[in-house]
Amino acid sequence: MATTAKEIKEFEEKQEWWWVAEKTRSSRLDYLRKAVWKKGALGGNYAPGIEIDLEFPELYTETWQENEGDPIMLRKAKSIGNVLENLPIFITDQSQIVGCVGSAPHNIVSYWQGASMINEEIYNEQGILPQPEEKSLERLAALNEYWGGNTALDELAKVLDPEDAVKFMSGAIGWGTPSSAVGYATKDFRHIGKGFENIIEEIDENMERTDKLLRGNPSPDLLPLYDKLPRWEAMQEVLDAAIEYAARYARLARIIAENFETDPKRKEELLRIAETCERVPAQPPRTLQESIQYDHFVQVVVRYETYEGAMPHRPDYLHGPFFDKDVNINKSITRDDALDLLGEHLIRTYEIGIFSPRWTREGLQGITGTWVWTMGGVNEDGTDACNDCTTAYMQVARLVRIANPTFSFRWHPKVKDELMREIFECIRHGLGYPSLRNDPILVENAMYWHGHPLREARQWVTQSCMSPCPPTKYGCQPFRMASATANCAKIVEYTLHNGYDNVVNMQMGPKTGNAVDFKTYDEFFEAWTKQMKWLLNILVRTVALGRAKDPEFFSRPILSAYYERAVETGTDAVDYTNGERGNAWVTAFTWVENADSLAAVKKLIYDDKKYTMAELIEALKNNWDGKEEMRLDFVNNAPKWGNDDDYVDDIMVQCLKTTAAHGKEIKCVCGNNIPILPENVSGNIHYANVVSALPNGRRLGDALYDGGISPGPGLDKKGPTAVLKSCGKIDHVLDGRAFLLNQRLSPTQLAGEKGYQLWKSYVKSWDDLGMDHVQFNMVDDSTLRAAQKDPEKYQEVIVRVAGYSAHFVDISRKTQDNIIQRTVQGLG
Amino acid sequence: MAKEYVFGIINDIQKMSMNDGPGYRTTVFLKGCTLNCEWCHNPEGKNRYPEIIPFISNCTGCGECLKVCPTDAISLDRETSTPHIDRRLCITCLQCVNACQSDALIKWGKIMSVDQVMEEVLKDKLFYTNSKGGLTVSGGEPMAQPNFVKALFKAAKKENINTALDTCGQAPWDDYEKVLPHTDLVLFDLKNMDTRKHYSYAGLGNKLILENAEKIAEKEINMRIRIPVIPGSNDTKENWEKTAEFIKKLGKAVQGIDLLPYHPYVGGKYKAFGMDYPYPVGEGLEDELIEPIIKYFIESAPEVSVGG
Repeated sequence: MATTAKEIKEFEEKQEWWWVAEKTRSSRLDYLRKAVWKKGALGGNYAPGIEIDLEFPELYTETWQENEGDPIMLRKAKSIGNVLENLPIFITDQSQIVGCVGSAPHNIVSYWQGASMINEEIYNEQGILPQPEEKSLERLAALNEYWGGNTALDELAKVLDPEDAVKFMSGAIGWGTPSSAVGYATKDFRHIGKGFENIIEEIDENMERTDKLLRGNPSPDLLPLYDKLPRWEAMQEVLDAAIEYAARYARLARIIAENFETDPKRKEELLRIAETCERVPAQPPRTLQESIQYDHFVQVVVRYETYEGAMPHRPDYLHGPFFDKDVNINKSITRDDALDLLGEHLIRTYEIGIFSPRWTREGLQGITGTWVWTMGGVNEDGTDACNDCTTAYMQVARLVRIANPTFSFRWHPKVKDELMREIFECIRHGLGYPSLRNDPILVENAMYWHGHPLREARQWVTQSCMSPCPPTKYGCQPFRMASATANCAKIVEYTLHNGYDNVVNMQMGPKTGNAVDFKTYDEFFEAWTKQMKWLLNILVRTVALGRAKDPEFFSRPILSAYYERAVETGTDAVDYTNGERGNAWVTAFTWVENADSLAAVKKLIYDDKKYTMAELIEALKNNWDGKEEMRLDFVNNAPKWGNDDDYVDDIMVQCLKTTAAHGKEIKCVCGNNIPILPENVSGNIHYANVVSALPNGRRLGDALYDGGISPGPGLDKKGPTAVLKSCGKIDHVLDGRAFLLNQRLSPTQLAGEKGYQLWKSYVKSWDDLGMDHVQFNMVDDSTLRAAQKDPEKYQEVIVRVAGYSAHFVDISRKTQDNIIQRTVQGLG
Repeated sequence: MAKEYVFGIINDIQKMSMNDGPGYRTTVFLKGCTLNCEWCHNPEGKNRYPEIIPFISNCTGCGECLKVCPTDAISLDRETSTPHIDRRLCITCLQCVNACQSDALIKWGKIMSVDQVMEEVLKDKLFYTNSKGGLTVSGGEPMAQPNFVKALFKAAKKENINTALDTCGQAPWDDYEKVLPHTDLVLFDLKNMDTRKHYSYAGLGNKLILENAEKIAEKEINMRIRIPVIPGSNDTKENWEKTAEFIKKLGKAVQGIDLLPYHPYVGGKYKAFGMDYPYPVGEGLEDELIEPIIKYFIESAPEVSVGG
């Protein structure tokens, strides 16, 4: 059982980090890590044993039906209240943090109020229905019968422009649902931290004041106040329910401790859980355990309201003071105790599972949501905000090794070397996180694009995976789809085909002219610009209407209680008139294909005149069939992004600047600008069958490029420094909101002190080039396996073997297998 | 200012190289070698002249190369549908390379001027500055093209870029005298102390090589000694002791020693070239085998590393 230091050292040398983690973590973390269910779908399917929770929607629907006459927010608050007060709860053995989304550890949840099409999908989903299946189908049928045609999305569909709606819903040009039913929201942490009872008291005062006004002199000013009262009532209802939810855990813990638990140590822990849940979230936390428990309740409770697919958060900043107090000052717990709490914080978050429709599962493979926690950064006054808790999170991440949440680190020049080493260790252990974000650049960017004042901008957290948003009173962004997601490869596709979509077979974009008639590249680019503007406009229009109607159709009592500005004004958090500054962007999926396609057109059609436009369009319409030689010419003999080649890099910059200029013309519901943000999640796979053949040599069905500004796989022939140089030509403040760059590095090349110094100098160069984001993928198992199947696309994968480096595709199958065995990853 | 029109024959320019000297480096591989080692890891660098080498994994089996070959030197392997070039018939006319659209037939050996090479080298200057890296010339044997290396290093020094020469030591001293004044670091190979064995494995004896090593050390130019560990060739106690003693005599110029384990993956390269490889393929030297060798060298230099 006992593992010697020598054995651990051997695992380290073999880079079997998952073994190192298992052998060095505490027995509690080991148990909790192994006991937690994997809720993300892999390859589109849920793991065996995962079940959809039916108790939750039934409790919700029951109250919803009973309160038909109530205003929506109150009706919804009562429904959530019924769930929080009656849904079965449980405490996992050895656990110290409680609270789960769903009535059992293996359950995933869904929200029947959201969208009929998702409800129907659940009915037809194989393998996730509780046994006996027949009974479950009956229960589902009853739920679907009630909600069918009456969900938030059904309501929205009735008010959308029919043409816009058809194009939006075609799935060809955009991704996502313009409703809070599927989204995410920044949290107003300073306000939430007051304690729920104090927020309830604030609301009481607001209601009393309003009541007095309503009994005073009549005036038109009084009329809007009548609607505020039931909203305040709704906010109080959910806050009370949340306090009761915690109290139920307190009671359960006490019952187990006093009646069943025989181990005195565990008994003590259960009593501590009870005391903690009696304190939070009603009152502000005093200890690290209370602080994390509070935080977890906040995140769990809001997920009984809606599918929050992201988790904008800054845990080291929030829990840092309590960590310092408990571990370093009054020493009430040891550092190992604290690591157990932080480790369980990660595990309990990982445990949250929400049903995703198939298209979301393809876009976000293997995870429930993009839960990126923001770490590090600066304080409002610009001083270094990194603390001992930041370090502890980095250390415990390597011990529990989970894929969700992940960390995003706000790098700045004042970060201490010791912390950089901890971050490097996480990356070297193949976690793939933290990603690095350039704090000074992103603060400047937030001020430039959205006008956040300096002190507000300095508080930013990652809204979902990439976009920074300050979690402040007026900075918080309540509605993910205030930001549209565009399938940008369609811009160049429509430019070539006069706005016609050959995959879905309909006129989508505007008729910008037959590309054969364009005499010069400039004319071609002008048509591209028109298609780009059309794409952004239709998406933003649709989403803006969805957002404006959201309080009416969906409503968010819990989020409203979490927002100081909503509590103050008695409005829905999503209401755009309550002082929100506006922090919208357009996520640009499949962006880089534009630069490479435009460069190929410019080079081979207009400059070299090797082919005519008619030939190209014909070849593209036939998906390059019978034109393999010509296709390879477009792949190999046209410049590609990421090789430090000005020919194509200038085109990339031109595309971005043109789009950025339009981003200042279009406005979000708050009247603020809308920059683009190139990134892909795994949309590059999702869109493979939606984007037709392109001039970069891509065929319909081929996966698209994998990062926001990452070069095409296998097309960055000059190595990582050239990629960085190309990306450095983009102005990361003026040209967009943020730019995702994936960088694959070899774990063995970065071994030891020399490896750390090389990595650090890489980061320095990244900063010198003014870039805002980079994430490092140490070559992992799946990549290497894919490289075996498809060597052409993975030529840049470098592995180090027995003292030298080799391109993976160049070495024999047997050796490849050997290397895969050695570098296999342990990410759950 | 007049440009230097000195040309070299270049095989490859590899950026972000981390194993050819300190920091991030750009390594320029020159074509042509003065030795002929049996285990050579870069056989494409042996011959001075441009030549064609198939890169099998890129081949789509389209057959265009067969059609254009004037001497019928190319045939298709029936099992893999990939080209095989008969070196006895090939006249290196390069028509097949031009016909190949998928980079499966590659012409090795590109003639480039110092300016052209410097244009690529300068692109990564930021990375050299931040990592204390620079430019390394390797090969083949760079000293087979001393005038080019001298001009390239001069140009690099003008830009304040660190220069490293990766050499096997087999070149006239006069040529070293041209290059060394512009060289910050010499990566010097020592393959075998026994000149007869050196002759039988590398094609020439080691007399000139050892002399050159001593002369470079006398000039007090920073050196790293690189020792390939080749089982069946130089992996004997006697050789390691003699090598260690020789390095000790070189004195303080030697900054460190890199032991480079024989790597077996080069076998695939040889197959692609249509050459036989006399060493076992597919089995590398495990760390356990190289660990005991380190002890011979601990007293010869301030630092001994595996891999470099």
